[in-house]
Amino acid sequence: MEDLIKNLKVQLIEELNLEDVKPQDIDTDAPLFGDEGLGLDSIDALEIILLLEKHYGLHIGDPKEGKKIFYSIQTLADFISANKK
Amino acid sequence: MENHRVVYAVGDNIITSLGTTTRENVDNIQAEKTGIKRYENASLFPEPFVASIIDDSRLKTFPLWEKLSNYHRLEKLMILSASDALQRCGVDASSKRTAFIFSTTKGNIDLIAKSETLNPDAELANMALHVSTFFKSTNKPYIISNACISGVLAILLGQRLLKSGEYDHVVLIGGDLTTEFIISGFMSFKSVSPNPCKPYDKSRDGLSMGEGAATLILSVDKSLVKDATPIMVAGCSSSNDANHISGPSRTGHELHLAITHAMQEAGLKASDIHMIDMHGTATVYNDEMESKAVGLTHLESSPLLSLKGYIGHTMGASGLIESVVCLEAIRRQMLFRTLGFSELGVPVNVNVTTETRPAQIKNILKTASGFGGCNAAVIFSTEKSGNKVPNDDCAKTIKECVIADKKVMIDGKTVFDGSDYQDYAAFIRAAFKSISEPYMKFSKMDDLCKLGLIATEFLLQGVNLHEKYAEDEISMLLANRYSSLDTDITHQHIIDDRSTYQLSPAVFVYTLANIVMGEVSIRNKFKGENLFLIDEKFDRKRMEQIASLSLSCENTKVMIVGWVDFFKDDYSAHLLLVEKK
Repeated sequence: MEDLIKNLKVQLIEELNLEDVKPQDIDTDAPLFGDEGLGLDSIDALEIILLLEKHYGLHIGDPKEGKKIFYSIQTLADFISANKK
Repeated sequence: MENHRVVYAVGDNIITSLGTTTRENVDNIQAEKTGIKRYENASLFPEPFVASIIDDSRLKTFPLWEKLSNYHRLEKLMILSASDALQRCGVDASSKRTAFIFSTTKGNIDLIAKSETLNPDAELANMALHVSTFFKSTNKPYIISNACISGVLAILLGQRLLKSGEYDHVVLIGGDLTTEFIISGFMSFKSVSPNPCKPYDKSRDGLSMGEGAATLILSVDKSLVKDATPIMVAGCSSSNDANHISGPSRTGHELHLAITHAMQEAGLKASDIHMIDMHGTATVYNDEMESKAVGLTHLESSPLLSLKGYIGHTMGASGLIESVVCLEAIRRQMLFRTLGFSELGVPVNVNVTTETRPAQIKNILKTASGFGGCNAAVIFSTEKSGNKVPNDDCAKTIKECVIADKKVMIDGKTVFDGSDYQDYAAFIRAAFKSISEPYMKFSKMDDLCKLGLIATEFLLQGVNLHEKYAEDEISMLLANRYSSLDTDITHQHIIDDRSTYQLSPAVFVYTLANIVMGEVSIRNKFKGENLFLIDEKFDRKRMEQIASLSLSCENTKVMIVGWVDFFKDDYSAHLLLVEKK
């Protein structure tokens, strides 16, 4: 799980072009979206869907499904470890 | 009123999947026929999709068709559309008193597919020249590429150029194609419905793409009017949400501002508006935002419609195509049903049309909204001519910023020298860090937006516009040569590689040049007018003239005007801070 969380942070920074952010700056439990935390937006949400497809082979058809899954790095990691084949 | 020039609609044409003339299109709309169909065409998209696409065999009925073999497909559509409209109204296209204004989002974008070098015809200025030269026009064309509000902005610019006395006639030509480029891009946004779109409906789930061309000819010469009751362009305005580059405003306040300014210019109140034709794309958030804007303007009881269920979303052409349908609604005194709508699914109780029926229509409001957070509104009226007298010489430049050759200059003095940085990316990052606190959005931007944003940061250093001006009094007018072609090519490479086909919304969103105004507006909370033009080079005189037209309107008090261009290793920015004389 720890490795997964570490990788996720690196992938997120790369895929979302978060140039000035370092993996250790991202709080595993903090909200990714909204005004707090990383302040990601709807385009980032679509890019995270792509990230899950590309790196983990997981498909999310409806962006609305993503809301809970994308809450934080922790919830993303939980979703991946529960669904990864 | 002294010097009061009235702008009349004198000729038009529409070419879509529903027909090749205004009449044929609107007859089909009146008969509630849709041009949206299901396609299985792997050269456009790997999976089946629905869209409204023109069957080219229908265009061969134009006698002119045979002569157009040397033109690209979009240019053919534009030439056929404009020649039909010009024939009907007798405006002399070659006169010095006639200007051509083009509206398109992507022009001949199909030419960049699977290509190593840039075909010069993919540049919008060349596309426009091909068409205007066909009609022997002697003036340099105006080209608007401002996302999905381009068509309405063509009317806005045309009306102001006529009222100010710059020209006597303007030929507005809009066009866009449903290319692989566009379809894949909207698919990456997951904003395309698998079925024909359902504007404002509870079960709406996205837009339908469409293609088409339209021409609208405006003139101050009343003797050219063919309609028994002349139709006038009575008011127009635009605004920016300053909220998000792809998602619409959460409140509808900014579209409401554009509508209000257009209605004020026309001298109309809410109860005078007999029909509203909105953008109505049938995406969840667009329609929601529009309903809020209608509510804020107290227009809930006016019959409201979206034409997207008939012809899909025709992008940069939509504002013109749909405006011409509005003119027909006035001529026929007919309200059209909003095809696809059955049960209201937006937060404000707006009066969406559910049947096609005769109605008394004197004043129509037409709106559009698009990526980059832009909104536009125009009023067509048989009662009002609009009271504005725009002035083309009231702009005063108070400060300038130039970025070129890794240097930033303010009023001719170098304020940041980045000669030591090895490339543009390093230079622009360093320039930004030298002037600004970290800004999360910066690293996500494409190179064009970074350039525009930084030029604005330097231009406004030590200037607080918000002290003197309200958000909606600060407007933007920008131009460039290469539009968004640099990022367009990045998107094209993604779709050319069918083995991976990793569509990226974060790339596609920057395939519109006006996004740079969206980024600047978000950063600085600028909510005034927006206009993005394409030109071969920075034509300062023309830009200051157009800025004057905005500044002489009630709502704009100050403007960021200028040039922001980026293509491969070529870049330059030249921004002016412009106030009213």
